[in-house]
Amino acid sequence: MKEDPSENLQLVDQQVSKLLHNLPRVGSPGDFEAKVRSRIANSKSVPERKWLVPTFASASLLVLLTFGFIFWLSGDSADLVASQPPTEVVDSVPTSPFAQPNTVVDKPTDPTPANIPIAGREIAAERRRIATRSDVRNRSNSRPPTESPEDGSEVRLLTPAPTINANVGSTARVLLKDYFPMIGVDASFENNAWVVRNVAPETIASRIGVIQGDVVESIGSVRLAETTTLDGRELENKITVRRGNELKTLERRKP
Amino acid sequence: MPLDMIGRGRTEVHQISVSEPKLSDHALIEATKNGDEQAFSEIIGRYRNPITNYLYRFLNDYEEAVDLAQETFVRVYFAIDRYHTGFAFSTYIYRIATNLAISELRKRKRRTLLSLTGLFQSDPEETAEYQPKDDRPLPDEDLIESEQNQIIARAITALPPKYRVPIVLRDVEGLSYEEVAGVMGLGLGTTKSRISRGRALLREKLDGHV
Repeated sequence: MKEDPSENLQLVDQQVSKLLHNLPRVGSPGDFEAKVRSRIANSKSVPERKWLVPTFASASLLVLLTFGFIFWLSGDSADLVASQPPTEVVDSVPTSPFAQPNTVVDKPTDPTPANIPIAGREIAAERRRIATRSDVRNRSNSRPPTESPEDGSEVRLLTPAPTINANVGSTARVLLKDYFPMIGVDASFENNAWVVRNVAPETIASRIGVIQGDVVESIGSVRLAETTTLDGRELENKITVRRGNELKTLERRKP
Repeated sequence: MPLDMIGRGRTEVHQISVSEPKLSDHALIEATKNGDEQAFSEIIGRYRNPITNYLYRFLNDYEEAVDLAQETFVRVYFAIDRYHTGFAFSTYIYRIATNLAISELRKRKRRTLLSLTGLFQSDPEETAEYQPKDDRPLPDEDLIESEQNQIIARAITALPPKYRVPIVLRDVEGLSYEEVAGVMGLGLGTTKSRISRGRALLREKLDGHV
């Protein structure tokens, strides 16, 4: 009679199981519970998450230092931008303030490049506004442009002039009292007329022939009153003055 | 410690109080949550020997087994608020002990890899625990039995953990298939399959002794 191998295997498995079951059992030592209690007490004596305090403190300090450093860098960039008036090299800059203001290069360049952080941009913009105001207050009559002998281009300091606010474009308006200094004229409003008190040498006014004592009647096609303001469209390359009893139209000669 | 020493010297026939429980495990857990230290002592009393025995059979290292058994109860104590009574406490505590034992096996593996002495060991038998000579006279019968037990213990520890856990829980600790499945977090079919496969592996290793 043949033995069934599967039955034989089951029998062996049962024997294996019985052998394992009959292995002598080991017990825990007598001081088992005391040691468990001791471990629990030791674990309790060490406050949980105590390590979190220095970790959080150092992490917070690191974050603060990082932000401080970034802020300091931004401030430096803003200082740099605000302390140095932006310059712009342009070709064929009209030398006359009679030129169309749209083409005047007095447009300030954006001193806040994109790579400056936002906080830095705001600081730079604020400082630029402050600097602009002080520039307006302290501004002299005109600042002679520096001619570049090589290419005829002109480097102008782009501190915003009171005459033309390029940010506003052609709708910008300028008071006459601010306009006259641009062309080198010291004028005052007397007896309902703008009377030329003085003409600075080597200025636009002197070049086109304005002299002391002239009464400025009109600029371009605009007749002048005390509070007349001019905008870009009205500024043409001619100015009409009364000299004695005679009206003279002084015109800038085109090169 | 050698198996024969444990069998003779330290073995306590653990007639634990599980057979006559005054309070259920869950009741003791609730009492412990409420600050009753005596209840936790009762839990320790109920499970200290089964857990120690289980870990010893799993690791074949008595000192390590006792250490991990103590750690098991420490873990239970600190996680007692998170324990919910949806599972049997025995399943819960065996699972903690199993996880600790498997972690210990991984540590041993790393230590073996890092150990320079391992480079010079050619015989795996040499890696066995140092066993001091026992001068006491032993009856032949005991000697034979202890030798057989050592062979079985080595065969168990030679099993991969995925088979060792269910074999020890089922055949040594006497847990039901459902309890073993609960401890391992496996399905019943998978558990039975692993037990069967583990027995087959043991049978091969114990060829000639069964």
